[in-house]
Amino acid sequence: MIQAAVQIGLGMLGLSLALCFIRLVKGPTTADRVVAADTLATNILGVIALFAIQSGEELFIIAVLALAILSFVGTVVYAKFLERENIIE
Amino acid sequence: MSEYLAAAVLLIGAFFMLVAGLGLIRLPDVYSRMHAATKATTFGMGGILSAVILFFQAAHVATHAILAIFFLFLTAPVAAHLISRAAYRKGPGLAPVTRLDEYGPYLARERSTSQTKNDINSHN
Repeated sequence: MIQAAVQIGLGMLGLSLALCFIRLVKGPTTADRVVAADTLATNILGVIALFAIQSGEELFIIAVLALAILSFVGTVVYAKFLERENIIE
Repeated sequence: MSEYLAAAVLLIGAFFMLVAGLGLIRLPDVYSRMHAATKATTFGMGGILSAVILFFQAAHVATHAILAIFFLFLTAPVAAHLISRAAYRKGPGLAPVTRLDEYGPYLARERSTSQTKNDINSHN
């Protein structure tokens, strides 16, 4: 039951990842690409969580937590770069 | 029983992640795309991590998952606000269908006051 739900969920997340990649390539401005990369990172977090359910391995949840923190830092640095075009002051 | 509940919550979460991807493709400008991406992915990750909690039913997994949910709910609005502010300051790029632009007049006023301040400083 749950394995079938995980399969369907992985399919949905894969489709969402493909749509994010299209926006990442097309994106007219840099801000569009940053938003697409942020959404991509969150989708990958979802894939890792679903893989934790599928394999029954609990340790992947810690990876979700760590990757969430890293993607937030990356997005903040990119926002700063967009605004000032200078990260290290 | 809790397995069915976990499957249902998981499918709801994955559906919201798919909605985020669709919004990223379909919406007209960067601000509305961000609106779709941020809110829908936050809710979707909440659903998926709730499914993780219901599936494992162990205290340490629940602790990590709740920490991850809390962190996502805390950081997603902050990141979206920072990107939208930077994008607007680089050049609005609003869609033609935009009806209300509240930050534009505010930013113009702020820029004119900082300009006069710079003038005063340069005279001194």
